[in-house]
Amino acid sequence: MKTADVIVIGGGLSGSAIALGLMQNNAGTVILFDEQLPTQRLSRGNFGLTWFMCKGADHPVYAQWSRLSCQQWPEFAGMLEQETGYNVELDWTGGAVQAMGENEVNAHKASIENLKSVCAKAGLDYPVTMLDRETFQELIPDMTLGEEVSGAMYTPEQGHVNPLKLMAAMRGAFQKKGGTFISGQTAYEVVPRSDQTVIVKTGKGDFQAGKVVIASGHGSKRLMASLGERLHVYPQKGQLMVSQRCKRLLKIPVLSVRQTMDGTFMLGLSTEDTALNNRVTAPAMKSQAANAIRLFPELAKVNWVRAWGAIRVMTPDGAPIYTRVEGHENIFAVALHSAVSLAPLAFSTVAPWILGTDQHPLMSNFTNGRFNV
Amino acid sequence: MSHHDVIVIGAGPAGLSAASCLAEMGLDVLCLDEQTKPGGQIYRNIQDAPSKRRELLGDDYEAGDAIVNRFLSSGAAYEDQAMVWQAEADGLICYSRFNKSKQIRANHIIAATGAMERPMPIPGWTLPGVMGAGAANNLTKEAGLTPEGRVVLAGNGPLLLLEASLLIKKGVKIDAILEISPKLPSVKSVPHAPKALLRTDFLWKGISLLREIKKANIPHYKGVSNIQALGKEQLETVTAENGSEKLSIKTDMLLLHFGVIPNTHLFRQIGCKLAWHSDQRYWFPECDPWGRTSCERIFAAGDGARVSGAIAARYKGEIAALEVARCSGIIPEYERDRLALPLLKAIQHDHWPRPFVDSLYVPRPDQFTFDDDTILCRCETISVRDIKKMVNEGVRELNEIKSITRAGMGPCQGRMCGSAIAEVIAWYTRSSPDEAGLLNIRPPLKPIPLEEVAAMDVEKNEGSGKNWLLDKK
Amino acid sequence: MFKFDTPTENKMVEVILDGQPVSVPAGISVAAALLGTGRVISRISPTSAKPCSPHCLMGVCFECMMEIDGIQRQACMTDVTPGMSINRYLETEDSHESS
Repeated sequence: MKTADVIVIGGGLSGSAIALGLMQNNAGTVILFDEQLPTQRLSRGNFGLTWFMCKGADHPVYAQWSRLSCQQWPEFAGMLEQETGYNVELDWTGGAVQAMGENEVNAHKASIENLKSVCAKAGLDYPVTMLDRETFQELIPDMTLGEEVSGAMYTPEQGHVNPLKLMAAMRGAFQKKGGTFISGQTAYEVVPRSDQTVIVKTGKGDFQAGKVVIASGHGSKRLMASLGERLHVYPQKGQLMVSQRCKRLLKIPVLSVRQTMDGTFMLGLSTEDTALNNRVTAPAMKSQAANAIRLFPELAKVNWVRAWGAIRVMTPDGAPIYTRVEGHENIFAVALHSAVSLAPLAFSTVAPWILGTDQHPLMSNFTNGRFNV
Repeated sequence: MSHHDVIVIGAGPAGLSAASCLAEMGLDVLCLDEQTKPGGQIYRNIQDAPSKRRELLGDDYEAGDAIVNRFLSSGAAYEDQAMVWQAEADGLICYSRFNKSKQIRANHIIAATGAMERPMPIPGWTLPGVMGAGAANNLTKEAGLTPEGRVVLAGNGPLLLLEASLLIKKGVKIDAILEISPKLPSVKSVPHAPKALLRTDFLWKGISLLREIKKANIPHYKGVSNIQALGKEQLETVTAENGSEKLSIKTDMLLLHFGVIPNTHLFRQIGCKLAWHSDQRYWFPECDPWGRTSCERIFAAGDGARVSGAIAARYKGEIAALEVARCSGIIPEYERDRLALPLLKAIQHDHWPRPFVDSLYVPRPDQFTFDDDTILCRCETISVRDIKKMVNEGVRELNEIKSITRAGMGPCQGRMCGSAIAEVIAWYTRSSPDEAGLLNIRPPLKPIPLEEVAAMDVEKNEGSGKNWLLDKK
Repeated sequence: MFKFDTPTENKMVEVILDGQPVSVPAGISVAAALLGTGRVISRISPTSAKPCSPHCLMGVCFECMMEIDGIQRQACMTDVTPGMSINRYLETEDSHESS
């Protein structure tokens, strides 16, 4: 039977980041399994924002966690490019959330105040300001704002990235550091042994590991269930749209409209409850297109080229789950949405926690058990 | 929102025949076709073709007249320039016409979206001056256009020779015909020969084709490999290897044809199950004998279901229509079978030479180029080298490759590159192309402007769009 | 690259091509009209920056995408109409003018 020091089940954004972090922290032999299911690849449904703004309004720990991760982004991207030659297209140009009308302006202002105080209590700043229409327009000189836009909340300290390149880069770096990537093989069961090692059963043979990390998106529930624990996640659909390539005009990502480095506009994400059905619906497309045009009327003549839906892994309080499986020191599970924003922390902080070499004080807030009330 | 008994997508022989049959039986049929005039590819512009052109193209083309006329007098509703960009298994269709998009419904959909020329990436195939042989054929039919300069034809398949014969008739100077199929047909063709002999009309056609080409003194090579298109801004030279002989031909136009494969995008977008034809190396929607796909309300007919040619297409369209009429309660089973009998006989008769011809021109894995610099994905400029790199990094599945390289993300959504990428993966992993999977096809099937989406008529309007970040944590 | 079998067969109409009024045959696709009047290049590829030309003439390859009356469309699937505005944007930083 093949052995490894750590096995990570799930090569998506979180799994790959953690696997890379494990290699970085001298974990020994690490195997990363990725089934490459064409349908439930949630990593492909990520919008690509590396944001902290608006996160954790009623969850101070999450607010801190998001801010921390965001701060680590530029260095993380630089490291990846250096290691692999992959440019993950990190554009650190800030971010804005538009306000249409007085009500939204007031809501945004309230949100800023709230998060400022939430962050202050944890000793963090929250560098977000409310801009009026004129100032907002000045920030985006090449795109005309729609008539209804009254202003925006804005921070210069975040950006956006190419989530697909990010995944390729992390996996590439993982393999470069000596990690083993096994694709197209299903890890269908995790069996703890009395000697504290763990067996991972796959369609092509069994593997034995010192530690196992379950990071399989919607597949994690099944693996946890066989270990006797219910993983508290539920599916939430998001649909996104992509446009044709255009001249690069929008340098700052605005919530629900960003322009990527290759010139395509991405519009999204919706929020729907359709369980695991990820089909694209015309009403959602209509609604997103209409909103995008309200924000930037010039988008009217731009062609919509593709849409897809992906199912987020959502937790009851929206914050991540990084947990040890109940009763098993050496089996871990991670489940979260916004894995792009949180990738740097998966690499720098979650991996050492798994190895037991360094435990960040905030980690204990993310157990799966916190939902058992 | 309008609701029809049947919506037929495609106004080629299969679609027109299906729609005609259903309308004649009294069902409410709507035929949606992307083109400006009915006829599909084979009967393109038949209604407005001047007599000289009809003479040139012959009986095979003129046969389209009857099919179109039947359709136009059948009572079927027809919308030209209607581009279906999304469909669902329950019969919902989104389409765009004259800058307006809307949703409509049908109890059954017959998708007769036809076939396309097999895209075969060769070095330099993106150069201006390199086109599909079918493209030249379309320009003849649509606009009475003929290549101005000299032409080289390259590839594989009876349609290549048919196009050569047409160009000869038009007085085009053909520099060479380069066929990749071997000089001697494979031994595998032999069992199919007797059946083909039953169709003397077909054989006679084939023989006269070859005679014409010989008479015109066109250099005709077989068993050719490594075809390349060279030139700076435009095509200047075509090179190839003929055994140990190196060919280099200065020419103005290269027409490529490597056979025909079903255009499966609509079926994949709906979610129908596809099957892999291992001999002919193409994917097709899995259907029952009536053309019903794995989605009960969705039927496939014509070359879009299986490549069988125009004659079979019209009969198969009608076969599907008969079954839909039965499902709709208009005719009982025995009547359906009675009406289907002569159609099935006709299909059988038409089919006799096909296995023989197919085996003569069977595609081989090594006919796909593996020259590192060859562009596979034209939209995004992704090369064979880029794909090889992914395969070396353990990525085997087409959608994963697409995610990382962007191959398949451009406007054509993998129509031109999907099959070739799968062949490259298969070659380097010593597996079969179908093991690489299939690119997930997403709406819209073709791009439409955002303002049109924003204004579309939908069944149920959604709210003003929840702002995911603001509502969430 | 292509010539009309019967040059007088189609009625000619005026369209605005790349800002200039030109005369092209009506009743056929924009792609056919341009190819038949010596305009071989349909666009400059946004990814390779090289000139592209229609390849399949049946709506599959998307090489003939050009801006027609303000919207990017397939020229082979759009018929010529009088007064139509067609922009190919052939002059980019590193391309040279070609028709």
